[in-house]
Amino acid sequence: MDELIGIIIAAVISWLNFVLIDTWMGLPESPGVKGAEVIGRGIKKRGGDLAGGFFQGNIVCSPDASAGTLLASIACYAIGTPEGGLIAATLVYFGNRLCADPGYAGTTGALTITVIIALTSYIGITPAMFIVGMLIAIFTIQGLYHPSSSKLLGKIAQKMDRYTKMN
Amino acid sequence: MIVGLLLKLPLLPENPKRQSWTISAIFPTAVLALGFTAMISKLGYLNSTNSDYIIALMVGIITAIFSKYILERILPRPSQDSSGEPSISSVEPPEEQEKSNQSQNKFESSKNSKTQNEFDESSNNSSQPKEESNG
Repeated sequence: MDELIGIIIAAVISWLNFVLIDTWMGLPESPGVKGAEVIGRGIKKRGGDLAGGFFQGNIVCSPDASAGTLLASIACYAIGTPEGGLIAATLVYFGNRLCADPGYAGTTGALTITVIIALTSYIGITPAMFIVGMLIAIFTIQGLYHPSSSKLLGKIAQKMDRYTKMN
Repeated sequence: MIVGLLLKLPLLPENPKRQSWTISAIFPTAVLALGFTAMISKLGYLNSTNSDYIIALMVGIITAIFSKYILERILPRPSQDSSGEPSISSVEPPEEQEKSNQSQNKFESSKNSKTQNEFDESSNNSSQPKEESNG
């Protein structure tokens, strides 16, 4: 497969993987630690959405599905599929526990992207493409413009019944 | 998972699962067992022979014991302090917690009685010179 097309497909899959899993696991509902709350309220002050802000704060403060997706892609590239992804899931779990997080989102994200990498390898998408794709995906959430991205995350949270009840 | 259930780990965390800190047979025991088996495989200890099954079985048993007895000691769940910020603290079994609470209460009560006695003595001492000065 052409490298650019592969990276674009991998970016879309990675984006959906981490946003859907993190939202499903309740990242927009409440901040896990004080740092996430500070980030969420800071984004709201700048015209963003509070639930989306909590989502962004939580993925900064502990390794959630975004980190799981990236680390599993790197481990599959460096160690092999699926062993790398399974090792990454274990290490992400330990990282989560160190960051006062029960670890469901990060571990699930690492395991699902390992399955996806194994399946998409049949159409020529490599783990290296997923590494680049995930970097692009996380850049669209954390790197471009927080108010807009938090509003999008807030809408997704509302659709999935995970919107925050905090004010 | 079977050894985990035999060690009385619950099959699944309680609801809502996404906020539960309970260590169960499926999460994280099965996930950790897969990860540890993958590590051993990549280190070259699994080489497609009959001994692989025994090694994999041993990894499963050790992981279940690790999840039940060691995991919460090395990676304790956070406890909420008064400010609402989760802080990491060691998890003690309920019996040990009761003991420590009792010993703390004893210490506090003895400390209070001591300070009360000291206070009484000091008040007596302070009253004596007054009487002398008056007399």
